[in-house]
Order: sequence, then C-alpha cells, then structure tokens
Amino acid sequence: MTIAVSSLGPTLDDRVDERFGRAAYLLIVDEGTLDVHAVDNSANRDALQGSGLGAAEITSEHGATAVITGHLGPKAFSALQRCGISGYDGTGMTVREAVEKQRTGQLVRLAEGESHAGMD
Amino acid sequence: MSAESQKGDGSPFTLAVASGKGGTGKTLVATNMAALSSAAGLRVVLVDCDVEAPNDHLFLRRAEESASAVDVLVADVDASQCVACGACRDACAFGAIRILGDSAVVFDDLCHGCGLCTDVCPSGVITEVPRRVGEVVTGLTAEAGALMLVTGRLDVGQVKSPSVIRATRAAAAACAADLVVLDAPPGVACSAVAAVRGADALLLVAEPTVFGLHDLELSLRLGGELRLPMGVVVNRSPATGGEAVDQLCERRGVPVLAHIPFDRRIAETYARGELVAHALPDVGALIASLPGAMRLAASPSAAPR
Repeated sequence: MTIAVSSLGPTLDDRVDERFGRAAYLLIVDEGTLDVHAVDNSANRDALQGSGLGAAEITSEHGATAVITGHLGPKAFSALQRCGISGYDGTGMTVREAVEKQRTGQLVRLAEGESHAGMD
Repeated sequence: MSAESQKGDGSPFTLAVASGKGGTGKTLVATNMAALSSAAGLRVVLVDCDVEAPNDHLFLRRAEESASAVDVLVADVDASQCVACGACRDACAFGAIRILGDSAVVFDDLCHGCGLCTDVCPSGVITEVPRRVGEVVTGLTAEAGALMLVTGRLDVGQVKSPSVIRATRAAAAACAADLVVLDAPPGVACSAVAAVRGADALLLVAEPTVFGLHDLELSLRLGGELRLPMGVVVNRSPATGGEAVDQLCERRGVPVLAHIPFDRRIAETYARGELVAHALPDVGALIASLPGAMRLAASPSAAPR
C-alpha cells in the first residue's frame, strides 16, 4: 500500500508537516518496504490558492491510497474524497512513526477542516 | 436641471463613494446624496456595489422591485469522455483544473471563466456552463423625484464579488439618469476597484482616527493609480483635533469638501434606518453640496492633480 505523507523534509526521519497543501514535501512511502520517493511541494506551497488541490493531484498521480498530514482544508478533502483517498492525523510524529502507526491501524482519520487561505 | 449633473455629451455624471476603512460612512453619504439630488429634480441611480453586505435598501425602500440572477461561466468536464491527458490543467493560469484519478476536475471557485481549457482540450469534452453567484435587484424608491436603487447581492458562500459588481453596474447603466452614485465596498482590492473604475470622480469618506487616516492614504493611492479626480468628505469630524485628515489631503493635493460633524443625532438617525437628509436638514445641506463640488473637482479646468 502506498501512502502520501506531508513532511518538513525529504526523509523518513523528518517530521510530519501539519499542512497538506502547503507542506514542504510530500513523501510517497511504500508501507511494506518503506521505500521513499520525496516530491518537492514548493510549487503548491507558494501558490496563492488551490495548494491543497495541487497536493491532492500529486497524491493521486502517485497512486497513494491514504494521506498522513495534520489538517485537510475543504477543497483538498473533497478532491481526495473524489479519488477515494482518506486522510489520517500524524501531528507531532516523524514520518517513520506515522507510517508504522498507520500500518497497525492506530492513526485517527481526519475530518474536513476549515479553510485557511485563498479565495474562501 | 440636467445640465447641473450630466456631462456635456448627455451621459450621466458618475460619482463613486469609497473608503479604505469600513464603517466610515460611505452608505450615509451615498444614500443621502442620492435622495437629496433626486429631490432637487435630477434623475438619480444609486448603485449598491457593496455586494457582500448591501445596505442601501434599508434606507431607501422600493415599492416594487425586480431581481435577475448573475451567472458566471465556469468550465465543465464530461468525465465520461475525459482521457486525463492534462492539457487543460497545464494551460489553466488559475490552478482551477486538476487531474484526479482518471479525469480532469474543475474547481468552480478558482475558475475565472476564461475558456482557454475549452480550446486546448484535444478531446473536445470541456464546455462552459453558467453558475449563479448572485443577483441584481432594481426598483424605483419612494423618495421624492426619480431615484432608482440598483442593488448587487453576492450569494452566501460565493467568492466572485467583482463579477456581481460589474453586472450591477451594467444593470444601472441601462437606467436613464443625470447622476449615478456608486456606493463602493470598503478596501482597495478587487471589489473596490470593480466598483470605482471608470467613474467620473471618486469621493472618499474619511474618518479622523489613526485607522481612518491610514486607510485614507491607501484609498488616495488607489484613486491616483486609477487616475480618478478625487475629493474627500470627513465624517465624525470633531470640533477640534481632527486636523490630520485635512493635512494629509493638503499634502496630496486633494480637496476636503465637507466636514460632517461628530453628532449623536446623526448616529441615532442612521441607526434607525432613516435618512439624515430628512431628519437633520443642516447635515443634509452639507451632503447636498457634494455632487456639485465633485463635478468641479472633476472638470477639465480644475487644478492639475
């Protein structure tokens, strides 16, 4: 199973970035092998609006079936929902810890959050 | 009488009332100015461009009114035909289209309706469809003379205020008039620009507080960039100690046309939803002088700005 994790850096030992659309990186992690592909999210991070949609697109493109982050805005939430992807709360964890907890079903599923920026 | 307000070519004189800060008295000035000009014999159209919170109708009641929807065009993808090639996503300047799963998906709030995606789609499966974002309500008010009130109203949860403001101004332009008063939303961004752009003159309502002064400076910059002839009316003007607004305007070369006094009677009248033009003739006289003073400020013979 492939998981997309918003993170502050490009490795498994970096911390989960609580922001999804404006995360520093999106790490595409294979839950079984812990192989990591780090996607630099700076284009979305610096966008005036629609950053959550861009991150959702990256998630979808890489075939991830779950997202670990801290918070999902309404647009990102609906975009992920469209693709059947659920979000889970990894606040305060490293990427490695969060993926391990996700594998053992210990993470809490995220509900739709409030909007942060852009035209909303 | 129409010579008093029309321009030489017979088109109406269009006066925008604006301020950077909210709550300075734009609606007070705009509604009373419109009512007084109408009572003086002009055909007046008051345009409520504060589409997120229009209030003018609370002071100027319409006997009958008609409403029409404001639609904007947004892209619409036929997901069953889309091959998710990404051409539309790559072309969109607003990030409004994303490839999610096996189809392009348009996010209406971000779509500006430019139509580029419909041109670049190799499969021809994107069309533009109307989406309602607000309405325009028009009707003759019960005021003396001929005062039309045209109100723009943005639907709750919608974001495209400028589209509604432009539609409201277009509806107002269809009414015969000698004087058009545009009651602008506060601020100096897209909505305020949509409300005042192309007016013949810009009347700024200022408040003698540190916040009012700061925001007046922003409004003066906006009017300067749009090359609009400007004048300032100071509201809630104290008997002493309010000189900072006058000093700023003198430095900027913008005339201060009137000081509306800081007077509890005005606040009480306004809070009841009544026009000070009717209740307080002394205050009404101050406001009644503004359109003429703004015409002078906007005339080609006025001092260079």
